[in-house]
Amino acid sequence: MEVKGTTISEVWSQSITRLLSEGKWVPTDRGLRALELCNMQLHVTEPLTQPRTPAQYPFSKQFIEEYANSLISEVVSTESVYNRLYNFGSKGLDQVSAVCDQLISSWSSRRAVLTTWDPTVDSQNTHPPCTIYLQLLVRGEKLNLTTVLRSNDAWLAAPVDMLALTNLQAHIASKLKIDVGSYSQLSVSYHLYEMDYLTASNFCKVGTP
Amino acid sequence: MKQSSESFDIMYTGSSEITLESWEKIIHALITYGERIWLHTSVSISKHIPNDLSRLISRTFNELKEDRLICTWDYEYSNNPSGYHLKTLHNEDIKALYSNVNYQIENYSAMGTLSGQELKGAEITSKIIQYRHELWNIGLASLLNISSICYDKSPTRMKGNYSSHYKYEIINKQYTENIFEQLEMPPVGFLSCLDIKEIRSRSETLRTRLAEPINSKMIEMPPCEDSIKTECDNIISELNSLISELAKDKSLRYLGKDITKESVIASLSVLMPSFALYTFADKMMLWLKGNRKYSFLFFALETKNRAFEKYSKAIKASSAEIYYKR
Repeated sequence: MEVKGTTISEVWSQSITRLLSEGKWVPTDRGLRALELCNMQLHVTEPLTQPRTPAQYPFSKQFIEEYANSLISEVVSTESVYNRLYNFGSKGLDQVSAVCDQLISSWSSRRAVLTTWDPTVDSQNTHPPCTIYLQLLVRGEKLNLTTVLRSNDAWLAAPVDMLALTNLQAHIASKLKIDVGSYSQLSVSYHLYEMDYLTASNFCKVGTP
Repeated sequence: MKQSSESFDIMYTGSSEITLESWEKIIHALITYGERIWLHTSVSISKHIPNDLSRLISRTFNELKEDRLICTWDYEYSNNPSGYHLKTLHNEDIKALYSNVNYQIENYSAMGTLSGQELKGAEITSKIIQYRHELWNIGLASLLNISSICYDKSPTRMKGNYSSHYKYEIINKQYTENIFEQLEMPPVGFLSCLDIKEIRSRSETLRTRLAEPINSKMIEMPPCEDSIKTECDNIISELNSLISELAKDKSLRYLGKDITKESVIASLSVLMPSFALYTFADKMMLWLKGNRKYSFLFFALETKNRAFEKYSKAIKASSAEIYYKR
């Protein structure tokens, strides 16, 4: 399943339409059912082009801004995705600096990989990270980002996840002094909880799957 | 028919696929405090339960639905003509609830806290999503006029602010689970519909006995686990005293057995491994039925005997290992 477009907003809107028309209801750990598409690929060719935030996104600007900057603004908590990126594991690895060094030393590198998943902690973690893999590739003198999300709430989280991750992409691009390229995301479970179904289906004007 | 003021309708909010563990929770709720258990129409028995056990549970599930001890609800938008359900949540109510939940979420986000925890956790969205679900379930229960909620997994909000909808989960279940553990109750998930109805008819004393401590714990939120344990220990001590008293009761002599305290304890299966004196226990149960004073003891014995019998049958009937984590 693949959705491709120019902006985050456009790709998200298309993905919701696809989810509502082709998704399957599945049980979830949280109780409420979810409409799910497995292995949803989202490709955004110009992730910084406006409108980045979909007009239909139901949460406030303050909420969006707080979330969108959560991977580039220092977070005090040691239990955060931010901390996993900049201070990973017992050695406190700064993965962001490491991938910058990697790419500066070899622009064609295929090893500029960041991970947030810590198997020693996350198998028992109540709230393990959803974004677990990030890979940066410099191609055509632009910095492309590919991410893998093990689980992605399409309605609440997908837009702000894309904002946060592409803000990180822009942050790294500025360190490398190159332009931002495309953004690609593989959501292994891309889902919409039934509490959001009515609002989402009114937004997309599609029938019950 | 309402059993007493200490029983209430309970909404089950676990996965839409009922596992052995979640079924155990549903039946536990039904025989202790639940007047009725409300499920979404999509809830069904998990395909991962072995066939023979699944058939057993499905039959009880359907019988309980026929007797309206298990009831179903649905969203209006589902528009499922084949679906039979007793309550429908209308679209306008869903929209209002949706806005209200989102408003609450934004407020908590703005405050930088979520359920008393730091908002920026390892996975901020995961926390927010969980919180939304908890608020949504409370809202659903309110709209459907269901007084309490039974969870598969304890929600985080229970550690922070309280809703009266948590009453079963945070108080009643803790008490009854503690007592069931102390009484070494076998799993109750294989009880038949008939068993469940008969046990329920004996549970009033349990609810009445627990009413006072439970109501007082509702005032001193959050309840202290130690105080719940202490109270449950007291109840078990009372049971012990009842057993001693029972052993001395002259009216039991007609049973034609040399009754000692130890033999009564063994026969009642309450404090010792079950069914040492099973036949004698049958006679004892008949006697207990006529003595209201001992009805809580009878409830415990009835539940234990029936649950043990049905659990043993289920184990024999199934090639699969039955694992429970109560």
